[in-house]
Amino acid sequence: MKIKKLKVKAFRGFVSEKEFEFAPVTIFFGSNGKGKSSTLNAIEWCLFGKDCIGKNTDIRERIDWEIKNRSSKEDPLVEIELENGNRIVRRWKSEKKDEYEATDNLDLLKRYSFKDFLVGVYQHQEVIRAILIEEPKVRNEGFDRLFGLSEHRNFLDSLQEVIKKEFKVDQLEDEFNSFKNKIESDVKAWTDLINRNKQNLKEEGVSDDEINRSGESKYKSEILKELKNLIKELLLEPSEEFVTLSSESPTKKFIDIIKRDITKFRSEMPDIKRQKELFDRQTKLSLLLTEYENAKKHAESEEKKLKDFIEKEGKIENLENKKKEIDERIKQIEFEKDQKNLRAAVIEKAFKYLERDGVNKNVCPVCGKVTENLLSHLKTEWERKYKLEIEELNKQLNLIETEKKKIEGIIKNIESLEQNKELSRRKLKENIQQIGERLEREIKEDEDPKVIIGKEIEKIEAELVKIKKAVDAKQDRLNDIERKILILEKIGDILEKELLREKAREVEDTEEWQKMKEKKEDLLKLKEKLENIISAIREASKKEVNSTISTVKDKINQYFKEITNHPAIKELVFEVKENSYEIKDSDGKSVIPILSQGNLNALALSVFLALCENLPFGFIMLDDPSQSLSSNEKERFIEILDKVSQKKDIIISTMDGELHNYLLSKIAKQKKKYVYEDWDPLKGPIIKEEV
Amino acid sequence: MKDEVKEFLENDEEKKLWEEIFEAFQNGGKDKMAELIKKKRMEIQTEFEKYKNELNKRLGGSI
Repeated sequence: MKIKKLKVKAFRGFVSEKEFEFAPVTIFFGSNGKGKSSTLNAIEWCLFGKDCIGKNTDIRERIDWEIKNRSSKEDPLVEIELENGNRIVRRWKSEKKDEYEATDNLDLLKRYSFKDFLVGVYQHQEVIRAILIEEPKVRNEGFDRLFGLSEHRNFLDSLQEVIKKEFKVDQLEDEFNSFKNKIESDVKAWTDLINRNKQNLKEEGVSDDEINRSGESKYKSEILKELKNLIKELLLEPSEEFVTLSSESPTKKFIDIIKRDITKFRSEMPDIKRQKELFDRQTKLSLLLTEYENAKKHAESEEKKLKDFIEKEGKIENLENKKKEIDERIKQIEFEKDQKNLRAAVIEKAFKYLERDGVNKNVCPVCGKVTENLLSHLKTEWERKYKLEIEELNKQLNLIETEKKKIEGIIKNIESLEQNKELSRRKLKENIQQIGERLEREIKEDEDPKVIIGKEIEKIEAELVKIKKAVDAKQDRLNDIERKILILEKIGDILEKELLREKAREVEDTEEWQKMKEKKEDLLKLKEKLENIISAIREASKKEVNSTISTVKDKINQYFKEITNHPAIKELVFEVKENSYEIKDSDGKSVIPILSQGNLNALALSVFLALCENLPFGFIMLDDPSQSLSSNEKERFIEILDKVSQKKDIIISTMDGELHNYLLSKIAKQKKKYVYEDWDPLKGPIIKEEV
Repeated sequence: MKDEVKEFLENDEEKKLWEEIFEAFQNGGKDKMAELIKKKRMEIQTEFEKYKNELNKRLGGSI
């Protein structure tokens, strides 16, 4: 398969349609960013479509690759015309994204994948860059891609990562062991508990012979018998559940019912009931007595307060008389004030008369003596005298009103104290009434409630002493039954724990235990299988690359020697390790440390050129192959290309002027050159064709 | 790659697992492969838990 023509439209950097014709050697020449790589990409995309896009290509820049040119309104289209006249057309439509047409089936494209194309047809810039990087992982990835092992590497890395995440620790092994340890520690704890309970029972007089099922039954029978006797004697009412109990009843249920009934019996036994009633009455009477004593003390205190106050301030009748006298005196002073005011009004009128015109204001109307300003002197003198008299009366009035207020305050205090005294007496009376109601008798005024209550309490105490004996005897019987219940509880607990301990000891013989073990091993096996798959991928990779190298190693050596003419290297020997490539000289020493960047590029080109001969494509594509090559190395590389061009067409993209000159001068075959002069966002690459 | 790797696997179970993993990877990449492996691990773990719970129940639920 050789390419005769290429048409590109709206693809990547291309906007309007461009057409290229191919010669045995086609050169795309121009500086970076002008559209050379887009032209090579157009060939790839036309041949392989979506296989050359995205993460699976292992080319970083392809991850978010956009096929459609953003400036063009048309859908991308690339068309290749082959030398035999066949045409391959790839269109991109927004709804389908990828569409492929060809005049025939083109078997070659069915037999070889895009990854094969990258190994033997298209020498990609990124591979050379990876080989030149000193970081071993990146360089190994570069060699992987050179030998077509990217897929293996990608698979291996992903699988290792997944295993690391999913099998962080030996989960089930740990869980199984922790389950086993827990059983062992529980068995130990149960054994300690059993021994402790047995020791307690021994201290309570229970022998080892009784700590078994028949001992349990024996205690149940005894408890039932004793309780039934008590019920009969005291005419007690057992619960419905109690009636169904026997020595064969399940222990836990037996204990629960018995305990509940005993609590009930304790509250229902007549003596106990009476005892409770007496205790209640005693408590209530004591409370009433305390209340009575407090009320009495309070009433006495209120009475004393009133008495002391009256002794100090006088009786209320005397105070009232005093108040009346003060009121009389106030009236008298008010009268005097009125009299003086009346007189003052007459004199005021006289002064007004004398102040009128026509009256001689300097002549005394009594003695006729003439005095300068007589009237005004008289008026001033009279006003001063009148003011003094009124002031004196007001002063008296203030004094007796203060006295009156004081008396009124004392009267109010006496009234309030009398009210308090009355309230406390009423409270005391109510208290005495309550005592009477409690004792169901009337308490006369000459009787002392304290003495009456004291006698009643004495009576209760006497009855309580009498009842206590009978009650204690019955309580002792119930206590004894309860003690037996405790023993039964402990025996039941020991037997239950012994049963659990037995089951736990036998757990390793159960089917579930065996299944758990199997599942634990299954998980280990799954991990082992995955690890074997990883080893198998490594072995397959090794085999693949070894087989590739064995076929082309002489050719690689020949090209490498021709390009580099390295004086220190006799023969390159490739050794494939688990995750890396060792490239040694025939003496076994690694050559990488003595290779320059140019040598490394030469090595990558040698591998590519050796491998390209194995594929039946009629052309190879080289994208910027001269990175780091010296002038001599470039010249010798072009001499090799001249030989390759005898068998395959060469499509080469470069920005290197020196390489470009060697291409023109050193290759004999017919050449066609496209110079990428510029790139316009609205038009795409500006290309000049030169033959 | 599928067949090349298979050559280095010793037993049929491993070969079958490899085919499943390969197919998952082809169809949905690393995520799909991780999902498949997780599912296989969980199946075993769930069974293990089931037997453990049964035993625990038999021992009175104390463990």
